[in-house]
Amino acid sequence: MAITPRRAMSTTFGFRDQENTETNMLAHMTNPLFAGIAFAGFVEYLTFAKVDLANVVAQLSECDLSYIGIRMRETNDAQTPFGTGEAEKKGVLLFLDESGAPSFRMAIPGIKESQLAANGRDIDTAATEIAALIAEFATGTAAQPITPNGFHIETVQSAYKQHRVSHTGRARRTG
Amino acid sequence: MAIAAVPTEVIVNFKDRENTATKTRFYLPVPGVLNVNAQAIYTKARTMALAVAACSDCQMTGFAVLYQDRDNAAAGAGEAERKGNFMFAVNGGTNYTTQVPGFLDSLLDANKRTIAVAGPDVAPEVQAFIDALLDGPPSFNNGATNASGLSLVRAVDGRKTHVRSLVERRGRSG
Repeated sequence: MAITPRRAMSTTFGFRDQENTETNMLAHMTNPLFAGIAFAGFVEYLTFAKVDLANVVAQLSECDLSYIGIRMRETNDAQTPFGTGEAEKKGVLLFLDESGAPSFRMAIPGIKESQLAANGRDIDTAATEIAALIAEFATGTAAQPITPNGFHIETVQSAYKQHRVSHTGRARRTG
Repeated sequence: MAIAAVPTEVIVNFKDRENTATKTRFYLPVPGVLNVNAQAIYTKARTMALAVAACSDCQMTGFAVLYQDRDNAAAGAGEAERKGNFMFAVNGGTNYTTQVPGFLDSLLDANKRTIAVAGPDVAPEVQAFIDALLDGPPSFNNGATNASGLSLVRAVDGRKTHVRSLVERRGRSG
């Protein structure tokens, strides 16, 4: 699969004004991974955007800086980037966090039939690809996946197939 | 400023056989002090994106890693609608514009409408912003681009505009 870094990375600065209106400012910079800069430089780019650039931007505004987001993308620019599956067929993995609460849910679009259990509804967590993905949730010292609130992910509570109607499917004909 | 890192968000994008675009996401830890773990996080994001793609019949069209810092306690000040517009010349492309919300009155020219971006009247804060954006990190001198990755060359224009918020735009119908 030919996914390659995009030429530019985007930096978003969020501001909050006196009426709590949130607004953004966008700036683009060279993507160090596209430019062939090693990861040490990559870290310097991040620190520059979060600290140096953020400070000079904040000095221009009377609003309070409330958000900094740095987005780096890799894309597949092949001419035929479509698959054979259906986006609506989700493979849902529900994870428990360290306190035992179900706090992270991942829905994989177009789950492969080969990853389903014999009943056709549950996901076979021992299937090769799913097992490899679940294993990734349990590894990585400084980069082990967490919940959106920052809790550790412990175990899979349930895994099943779900059909979710797409926006196109929801549309009604009126003519 | 009490802005602090929040979990890194990774978004994996797919297209299916009908070209329906869809996505899934997961979260990785904050990159740590001075972003020392940024490399490990990026590498993990890539590995996991490919692991997710291996479970799907859809085509993965890409992924995005979003390093984020947030200050939920920011009190808020100024008026977001008062924008400071900066226009930059692009090497081989059309001009690039970015807008600073709540632009300070004190940095405007005497006419209160334009912002000096070159010459002796440029405010030090404005000059610092332009230099930082154009130069980028000191070790690389490889800074700002437009969204397509073409380099910004110089600031060519600066002016204040008032862009109404969504609340202001809303009409009364009752």
